[in-house]
Amino acid sequence: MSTMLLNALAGVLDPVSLLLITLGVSAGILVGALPGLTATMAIALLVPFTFGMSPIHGLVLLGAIYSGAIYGGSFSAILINTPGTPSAIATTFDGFPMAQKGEAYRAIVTATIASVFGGVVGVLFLIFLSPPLARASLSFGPPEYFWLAAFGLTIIAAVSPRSTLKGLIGGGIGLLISTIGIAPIEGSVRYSFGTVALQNGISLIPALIGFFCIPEVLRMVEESHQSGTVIPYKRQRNMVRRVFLRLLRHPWLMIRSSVLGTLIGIIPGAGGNIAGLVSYNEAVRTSRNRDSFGTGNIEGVAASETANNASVSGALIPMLTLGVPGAPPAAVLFGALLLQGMRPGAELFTAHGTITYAFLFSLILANLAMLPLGIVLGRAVARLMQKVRVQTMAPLIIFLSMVGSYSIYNNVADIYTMVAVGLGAHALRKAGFMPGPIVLGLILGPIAEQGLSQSLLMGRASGSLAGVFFGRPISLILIVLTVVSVAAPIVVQWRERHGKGGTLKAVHQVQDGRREDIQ
Amino acid sequence: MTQRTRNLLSAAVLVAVSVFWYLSAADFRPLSRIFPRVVAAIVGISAVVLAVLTILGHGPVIRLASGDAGERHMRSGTLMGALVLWTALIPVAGLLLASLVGVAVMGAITFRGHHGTGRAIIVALVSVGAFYLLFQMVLHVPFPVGLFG
Repeated sequence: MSTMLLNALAGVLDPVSLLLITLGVSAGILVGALPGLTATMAIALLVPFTFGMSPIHGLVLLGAIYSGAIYGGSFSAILINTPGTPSAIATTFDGFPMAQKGEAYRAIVTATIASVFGGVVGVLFLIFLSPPLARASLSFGPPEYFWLAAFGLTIIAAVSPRSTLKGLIGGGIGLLISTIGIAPIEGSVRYSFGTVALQNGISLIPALIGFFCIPEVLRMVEESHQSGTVIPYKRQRNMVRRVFLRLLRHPWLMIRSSVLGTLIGIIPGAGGNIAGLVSYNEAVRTSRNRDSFGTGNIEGVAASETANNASVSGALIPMLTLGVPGAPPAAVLFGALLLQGMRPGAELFTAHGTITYAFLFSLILANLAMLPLGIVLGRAVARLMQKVRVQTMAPLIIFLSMVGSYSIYNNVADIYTMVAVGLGAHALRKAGFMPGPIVLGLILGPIAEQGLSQSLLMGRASGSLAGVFFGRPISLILIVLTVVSVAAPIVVQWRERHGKGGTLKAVHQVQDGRREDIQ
Repeated sequence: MTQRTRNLLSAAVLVAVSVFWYLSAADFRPLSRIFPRVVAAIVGISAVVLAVLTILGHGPVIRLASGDAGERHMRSGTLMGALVLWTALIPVAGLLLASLVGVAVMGAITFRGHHGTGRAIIVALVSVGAFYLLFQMVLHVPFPVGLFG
């Protein structure tokens, strides 16, 4: 074990890895800062290009971009009141008012320190929680995996921002797509429509690129993202030290936001945006100075940014241990792992331990690198935000999507898959079916089908189908969680309809400009 | 298109796909057909629920982007058309030539009102050329060629 950890440390401290971390975080900050470009899109576009790298270098680069992009979203949230990534929604509430008051640099430094803190705490959770969880996954049999997949799909439907029903249907669409190709048991060729290209199923990486890049490009062209006026700022001496000391006075805020961010990140579908909003809500609810939220309170920025960066590692915990991604970028990283021949689970921490731990250690370095890079690159990023029209990048993103899809297996059919999936995903998005649940369905489909088929065989062999599906302790826990995740949104909606709810009451009140009676 | 129409249209398409998925599974071996049928049934039933809720006036609401819908659709429609043509051109002209044309055409669409077509062509030549060199020379991944070799 210690040799493995030392090798992992050596792998992440080699000059190439350090260079990739620096480049990845810098690129991530830029992507995150430009509204219209997302972390998921950046990772999806880069995955094929990491195929030729060593697994450690490839994963280090992708992890650095993921962390950098989530943090980068705070720049546009603070400077133009538009979250660069959905994770930074709650940062706009107090970040932009701070910038309007001439405290833009203070807000950026706050976001930077909070992101570093949340990110590092999240990675520590990831490092210490993942190995035991991965070992626990060894006690999972086919029925447990079937119920795990069912739980993953219902929970993503439950946290779907637009509609639980549409989230559920989206997951179902992903499951339907996953049935294309050779069946895992008995080997029937299904829904290939006579084409050789579909006999092995839909290629995952081209599909992920299609799902996450093409609809985003079309949306950015449709909505004609135009950066608002960027509030200029100047660096001030000792600001990092002053903000650090200020945040030291709120240790509970930082710790609570980190823990909330990590835990919410673990829930499939509940990404950095929900983590940021819930954490902000708690900050308002528990503060003695509630009236100042929404008018430029440093605690609001810290709560949101701590939580959304902690959620990055949270989303990786179920992905690395159980193969269930907690957020869309984690789903793309899942594809990257498969591409490198690594399957999530216990093996990742034993046979591939050196690579996995190197990846985890690199996330700590990536988060630490955000502090100098964010401060140094901040003004350059702000200038680019003012100058770059993201629509002009649309042709290049599509070109990279094509080249990336093709280069994995040197197969032109993968380009067609990517384009078809992308156009389909755009149409589905128009109808209100978001890519997140569909992709989760696509990833969980094979797990669910294999679990179902093998459980049926076990049931036949043992003579007790009900015993196999409903008689095992872990299965029962997962069934209860599945039922709760289906019932919870219905209960929440009922409570809100009857004026008893409001899970993010404080947030709504800040948004509405009403800050009285926040309980 | 109103939200109600979108919901009803998507529900109808999903029911049709589910029925097709369910019926096609009859050709598969027993264990290979169970999962697609279960999923198709769930999606089909959920689509019917979506339709019923929409008809009753409780359908999910989709938030649309602000601005002129006609212009928005024109922009994305043109871009989608260009994307399809670009893809169709690959087996004929090869990835290099198709991408040069594709990036230039898309650039002309997305740069409109801000930069000229000349700039779109320059962007296409530089970006596609750079990636072609990267793949062909450095990564040794040959771009697929078309009918003309």
